[in-house]
Amino acid sequence: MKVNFSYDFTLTFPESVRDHRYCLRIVPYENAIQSCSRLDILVNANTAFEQGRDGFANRFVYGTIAKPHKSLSAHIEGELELSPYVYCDEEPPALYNAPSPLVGFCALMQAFLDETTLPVSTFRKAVVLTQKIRENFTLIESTKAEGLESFLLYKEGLRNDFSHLLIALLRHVNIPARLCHGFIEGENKTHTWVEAWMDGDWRGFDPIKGIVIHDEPYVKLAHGRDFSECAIYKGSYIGKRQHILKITGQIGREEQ
Amino acid sequence: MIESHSPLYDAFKSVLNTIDTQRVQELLAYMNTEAINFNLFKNNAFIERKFPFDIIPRIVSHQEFTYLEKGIKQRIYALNLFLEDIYGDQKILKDGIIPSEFVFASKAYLPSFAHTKVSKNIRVHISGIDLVKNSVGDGWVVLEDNLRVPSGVSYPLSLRILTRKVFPEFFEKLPIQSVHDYPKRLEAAMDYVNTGGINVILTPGRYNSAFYEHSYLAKQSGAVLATGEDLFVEKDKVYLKTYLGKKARVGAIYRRLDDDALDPVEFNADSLIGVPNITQAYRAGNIALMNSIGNGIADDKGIYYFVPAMIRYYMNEEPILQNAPTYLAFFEKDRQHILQNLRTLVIKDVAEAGGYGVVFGSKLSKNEREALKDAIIKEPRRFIAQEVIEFYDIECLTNEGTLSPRKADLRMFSIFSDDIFIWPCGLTRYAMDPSSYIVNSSQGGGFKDTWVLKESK
Repeated sequence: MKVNFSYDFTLTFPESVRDHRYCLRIVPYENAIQSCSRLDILVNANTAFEQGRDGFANRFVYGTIAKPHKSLSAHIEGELELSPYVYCDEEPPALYNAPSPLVGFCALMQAFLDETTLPVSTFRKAVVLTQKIRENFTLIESTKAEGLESFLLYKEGLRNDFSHLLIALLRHVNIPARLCHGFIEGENKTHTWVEAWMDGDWRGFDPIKGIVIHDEPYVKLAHGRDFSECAIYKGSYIGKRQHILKITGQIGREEQ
Repeated sequence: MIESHSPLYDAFKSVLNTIDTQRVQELLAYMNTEAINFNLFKNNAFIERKFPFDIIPRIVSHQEFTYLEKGIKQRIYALNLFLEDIYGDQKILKDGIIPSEFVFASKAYLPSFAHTKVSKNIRVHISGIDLVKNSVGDGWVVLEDNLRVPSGVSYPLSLRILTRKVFPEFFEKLPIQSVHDYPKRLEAAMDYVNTGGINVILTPGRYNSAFYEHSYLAKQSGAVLATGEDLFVEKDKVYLKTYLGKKARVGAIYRRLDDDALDPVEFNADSLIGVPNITQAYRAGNIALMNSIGNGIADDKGIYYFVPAMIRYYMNEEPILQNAPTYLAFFEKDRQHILQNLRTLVIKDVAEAGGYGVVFGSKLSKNEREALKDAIIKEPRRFIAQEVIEFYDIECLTNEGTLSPRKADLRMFSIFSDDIFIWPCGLTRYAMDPSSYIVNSSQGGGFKDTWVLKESK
């Protein structure tokens, strides 16, 4: 399937900042099911930037804005060729079976598992957990109670919480799982979902929608053991530490 | 058992005896005015205090040094290959020599730096290997590998300079190997991996416990001493701000700050002492960082257990130096052994350093022991246990002119460039009081110089 995409990322600061070094993970990932045939990246209208790749093969752009400024904007657009969501890569699956900075296992999760009947097959286990999270939790757009513990306690949370919970549960039943960050159809912002390793392949599960990903266009920007490794923006600047990241855009299927 | 009772110390003692006792105390009082500082942060307060030293050195025979040199070289070589492998193809995991979850569950493994190539394939540029000499069987035992930011070189080096000045008779009468080329060796190692530009020593600043050493090494090696504020990344390269408002390209950085503080964009955003985006220049291959990022996985107290296996795996050799007998709570059989023999073992928390998180089972109350058992069962990956090693004491000269034995370890330093250089010296640290086994400087101990003797003709 061919899709085109166009997204804008705007970081705004209430007071002006300077000596700003940024690193943006906004470039589509390249793997066996996703390849880029056209890509344009623009930072701050037309400021020079560099590109790199981290240990997960996530691509990023980085650079400096030295002068005082109150916003940083980036625009990406292009075309992608997507294949059905089953693939393998070079990374060791076991890396994604260990606890990571934001995802560990806790007592509340055990309680959640205790009231779930898990099937034998790995794939079915992942499906049941994905659906159960979808049924029991509510997506909200902002929260003051961060982290998995409060997600489990209040039964509501952000996109990341859904994915982190599924990752924690999958790892607990010995299924390697990682977080993906990117775009999906019909949403005007970024989305997160989970890739789980089974029978020699990575497969996609979306606990927010409660689905197994097949042919739906899910465009990955980055993956990692958890969100700490695939945030859109990381940066350092001199000024009051407060910023708002706004993302707008869309992906569309191209006619065959 | 007291090492300084060995005949190796006879020559030293006879020279010492020729000097009037009162004169010795006067000279020591003078030496103490030349402050050798060790700064500490304790309970959020900054404490600047002298690092106490003792005039009686550890003496190492030429033959013993040659043995240690061979053993440490072998160990460093294997550890460097391990790091290249772990951040590369991970053959040692695929071949089942080390259980992969052991590496992946460690906070010290940084997967976001997988496949980052480093200049000349060297990652362990500077190392400090902590050893003790077992009074049972007389063998040297490695207690810990320090491959991240090991410190301590400048202490014996400064003490040597001072001792030469104050007690020249030792150096006239004993065949002591010279140690003053350490900074030159450091310079050569920086030049060797330099990717184009000047050499810099990056310090966290004057409040750091080893600032004295950073400034000393910079002065002696010709590198520029800089803080994070003095450096910046432009495009994909690193530069130093010069006094004239210009910039100079930096090709190698001997960084004396931890990974976590190195780059606020990549790691801890609260770090004010790092260089933003320096890791991107590093990933692009435009800067040599000494030591490399992510080395913590190789000196993880849990990975230590596997070093002898690494030597066999990568080098097809038998390890020359032994590890202390170690049990990993991670393995069921070892865990049972630990839980049943807690009283006789030293328990170490793999996440802690500097003598923190080290517990002697024999010193715990019943309740504390039970609490520790629970913690081990709950998080087995976090704990290792070692047999207590009865290592040698070396005497210290007290203010009253008497000799008092203290447990003493030895940190030996290596510099990796075209070959691995083992410094014929070392930091001998001794415990603060006669009954203690903890010699870390952050725990109140003192230090001695280490004299390696020349080959006798």
